Amino acid sequence: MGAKRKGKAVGSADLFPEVQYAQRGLWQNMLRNLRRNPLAIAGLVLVLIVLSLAILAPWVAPRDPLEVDLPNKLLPPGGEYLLGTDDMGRDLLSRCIFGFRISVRTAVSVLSLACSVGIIIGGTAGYVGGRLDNLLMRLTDMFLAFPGYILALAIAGALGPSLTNAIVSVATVWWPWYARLMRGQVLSVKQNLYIDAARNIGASDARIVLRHILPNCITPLLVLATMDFGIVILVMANLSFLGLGAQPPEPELGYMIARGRLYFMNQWWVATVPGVAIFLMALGTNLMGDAWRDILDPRTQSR
Amino acid sequence: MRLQYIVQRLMWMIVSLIGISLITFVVSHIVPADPIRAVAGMEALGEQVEVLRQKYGLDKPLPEQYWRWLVNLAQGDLGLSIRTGQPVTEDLGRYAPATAELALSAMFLVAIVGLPLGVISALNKDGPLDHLSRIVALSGVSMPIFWVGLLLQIVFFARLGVLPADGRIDIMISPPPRVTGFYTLDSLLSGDMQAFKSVVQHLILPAANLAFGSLAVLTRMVRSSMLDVLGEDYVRTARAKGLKERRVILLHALRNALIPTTTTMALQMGALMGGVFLVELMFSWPGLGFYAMRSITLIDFPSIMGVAILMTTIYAIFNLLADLLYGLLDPRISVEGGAE
Repeated sequence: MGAKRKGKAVGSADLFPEVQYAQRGLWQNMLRNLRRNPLAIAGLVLVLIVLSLAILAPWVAPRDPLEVDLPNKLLPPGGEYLLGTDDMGRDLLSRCIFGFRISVRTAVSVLSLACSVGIIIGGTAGYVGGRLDNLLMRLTDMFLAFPGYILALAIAGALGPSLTNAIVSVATVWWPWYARLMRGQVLSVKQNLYIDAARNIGASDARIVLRHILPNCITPLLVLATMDFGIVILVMANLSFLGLGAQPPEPELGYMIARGRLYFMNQWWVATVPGVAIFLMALGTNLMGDAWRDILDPRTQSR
Repeated sequence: MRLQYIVQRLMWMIVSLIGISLITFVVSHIVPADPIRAVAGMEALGEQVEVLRQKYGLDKPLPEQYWRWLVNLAQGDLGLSIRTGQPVTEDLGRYAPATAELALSAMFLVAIVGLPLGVISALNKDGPLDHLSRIVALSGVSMPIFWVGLLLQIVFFARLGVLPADGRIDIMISPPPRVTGFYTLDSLLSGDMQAFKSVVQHLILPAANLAFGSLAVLTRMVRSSMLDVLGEDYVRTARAKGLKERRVILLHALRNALIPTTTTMALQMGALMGGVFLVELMFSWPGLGFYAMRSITLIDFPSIMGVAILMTTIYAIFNLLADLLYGLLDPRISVEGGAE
């Protein structure tokens, strides 16, 4: 407790105002910016559509995505099958809707894994400080110092092709960004008066971390996660395309493109349709991410 | 002290490289599969397999294998590829020029398209052109790179039939004698115009594919740095003293806006490394990515590690270059991060 802080009058109304105000401001800012920015609204609408399709897939998909109908294979879009059929006569529309479900689920898994590891490592580094901080951050720097995509590829390749392994491998290269952000957050939140106050009334470390630091650090990480959502979806599609992600017959969009590639000379829609699905999903989140970026730092590019 | 900074960065780079090689090593050796079996075939006798295993040093304990690998690396030796039986350095030397040619062409495309596009959208801020370029840029980063490649193939190869979709040169034309390893340069050097034409045709689609994502990033970057610069006092001064608008834009604004742009370019060059794998696979481009993917399927450790180390080194060098360029181009910035 420095002399400066002692002199500051602490209102009885609220012991911990700064961060909460800042957060409320952020959300309000987001809403205001959203109203002014038609592209961001378009992004939000896209994301909401994709999310609801993903959640409601079993009810909204016109057909079973795995149902094979060989006499009707490779039908062009239009007609009975709205977006056409693939080489097994499976309905592409239904497969895309279920593909959304898989993509959303994998992206959420990757990001929650990355976030958790980042929170633990970055949080520990920031809260404990000293040597441990140095060690953990050097480790983080090392991961950031080289092309994550190549390591993800190597790990996924080594672990063997499966969706779970792909999720693990991408999360392995994704957490350092979150660790760095988390550490910075903890370092700044730690300075707050209310942390000193909590400590002075005898709160334990665990209580301080869980009740006071964590809730006040988490917003920027969530923002980063929403901005990363589209990128993760693309990276996962890349891995599946290389055969390292979801395995057949799962209706995974990247794998569907890889499969459709065999028919690119004449049945262009088999690969094009799932590609459009990925594109819409990523575009929605990127449009929103762009709006976030305008709010957060209008001058510099993120990452 | 700039020199001290560079030395420091280089040291850190080496430490990172060792760390990364360790990670790659551990990861690629925990796979239960046996590369020797994969190469020698299932019917190979136990003895033959043993001999091969000794040849590649796979009979030693893992820490020793890793240590040997490091010692050899320090001497510029990456071991023998299990798949090709050649030294990995030789393999890399054979495949690297194709990748370099592809990446440099892509970067060239990014520069000649991205710069004007960024400038135009900055000058038309919030106009229809600006919105259009924003949409194009955001679309660019929202498309899976292999899907873009596929669309290019569908349109220009399958539908229009104007450009080839795989390889570096027509199979009916013999490749130019190797001088630089860049087919474009080699065919020009040997004066073989027919080969040159074929090479350029084969280069267009993959280069465009690889350029696609970076193009979006660069366009946005040029736009925002142009906007920053256009708001500066010296631009107003230049206008006030009656310079032609073109002169103001090109000589005063663009030149300064190029500083962050150069850095972005260098960073994007590193980012291209990831895309290379997919593009080379899509277009059967015989480069490092192609080589790496085939090595991965056969769990050819030495090759995988070799590619990983090479790619990482290139990536790290471009990142360092980006930092140094930043300081070099803008004397106000101190790379050390200290106070001026």
